[in-house]
Amino acid sequence: MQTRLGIVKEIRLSADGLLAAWIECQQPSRPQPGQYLLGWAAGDLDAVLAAPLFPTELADDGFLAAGIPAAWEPGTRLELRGPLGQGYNLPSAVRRLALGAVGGSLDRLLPLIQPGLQQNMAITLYADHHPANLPSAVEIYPLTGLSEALAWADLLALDLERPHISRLRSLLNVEIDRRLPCPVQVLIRTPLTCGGLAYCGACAVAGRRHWKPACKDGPVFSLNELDW
Amino acid sequence: MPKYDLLIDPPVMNAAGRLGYAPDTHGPIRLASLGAFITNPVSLGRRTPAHTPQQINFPGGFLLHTGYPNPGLSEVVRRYGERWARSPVPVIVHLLVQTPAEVALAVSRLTHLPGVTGIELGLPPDSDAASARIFAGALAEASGGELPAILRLPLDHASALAPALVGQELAAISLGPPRGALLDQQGQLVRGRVFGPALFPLALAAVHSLASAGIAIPVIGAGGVYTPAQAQAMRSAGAMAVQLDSVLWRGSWPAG
Repeated sequence: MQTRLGIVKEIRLSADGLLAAWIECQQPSRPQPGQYLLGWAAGDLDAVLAAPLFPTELADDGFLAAGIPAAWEPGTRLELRGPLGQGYNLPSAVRRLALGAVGGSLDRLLPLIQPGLQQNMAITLYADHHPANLPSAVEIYPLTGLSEALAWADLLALDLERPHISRLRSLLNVEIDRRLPCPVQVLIRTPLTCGGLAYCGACAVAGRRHWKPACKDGPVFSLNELDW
Repeated sequence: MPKYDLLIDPPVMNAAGRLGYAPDTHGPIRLASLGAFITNPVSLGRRTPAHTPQQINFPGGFLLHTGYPNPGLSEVVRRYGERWARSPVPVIVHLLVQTPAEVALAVSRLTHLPGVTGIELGLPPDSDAASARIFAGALAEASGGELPAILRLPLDHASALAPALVGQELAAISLGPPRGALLDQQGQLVRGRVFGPALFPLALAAVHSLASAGIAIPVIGAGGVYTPAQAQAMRSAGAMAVQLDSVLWRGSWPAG
């Protein structure tokens, strides 16, 4: 199994207030928005499992990952596996992008903002709280208005914990078997225990016909693929 | 009926459920480092994931509640049988059964399959000594000397169950993860299997106890092995081979 090296350059707090690390790594290791790496500190014999690392900011030389182990510090050398999984897909034809943080977490949606603005997209964010330093071009609405996004957006990108899938229908105000007015991509947060190695089932998400491993077939899914 | 001798060389294998259903050259361990590959647990019929699968961490380990999802034996054979036949590593199929009758049915579908060189049977949860003996007998009879048969005992009950297996025609006993319980973020009790380096002292003690208990069945050690030194410690304690579990999900196992 090929792993690549990375190094923690800086420790910060993420937009969600989590411990975050700026990880310098070479381009093949850099995940796209919604994808993840699995990383562990080289030589750390106390690490039980590798930590899932999702980008909350991206740059050419690395990315900011939130929710890191507390033991990491600047200079920590990492072994990185990935990028893994399916991330968000932001087609160039999209002109109106809506983002929805169901359950309150924004970190994994934020990397969509910069490329969206660079492509001159109008961007709205539906969330119950938001960081103070969002670009002024991003319009912010409460999460209760999420159903309006379907009528406005060319693409709706969501982030939610697996148990909150059952809330989506009422949040989006869409009846069963009604066609979605726009494409919806949803990042489902689950444990990523085996990282695609074993079909362990910890990340199982109910699909329309059978269960899907979020570690491999996700964590970003088209909402049409899911049993919601 | 003769006991089929089991040769695991090198004396290292993955534990069931750690690396999927067939060996992968891009996995976390060089296949040449494995003396055998054990598949994910496979039941006769399809199993869906638990209603709320969970991983709950604790210092030194984690609890996993997944429900052992798998597509069922027929489908697993259909999807992976060719890869087993081409595998450079001997493949041992891990069976998940509820009754002794299922043992015979499952083993009959695997006997003579190219590439399948053994069966490992996981005891149903909460099995006592009597049922362990019944399952061991069913496994030995079903494999009939054609396939080496390994019975996996939960490591926290292995020493209590092992004496009931004396005289059974098993190629080996292996150790499986113990079951435990933790509270989830909503304060609900979640039961599941326990993994991680915190288990190693328990596993090493179990290996030593089994190897010196006079049951005359080889022991395959497992549980919390995270370093080659720990694997060697199990071998020195009497294990004929060692299974690696959650360390394979953390990162690569040292080559050689």
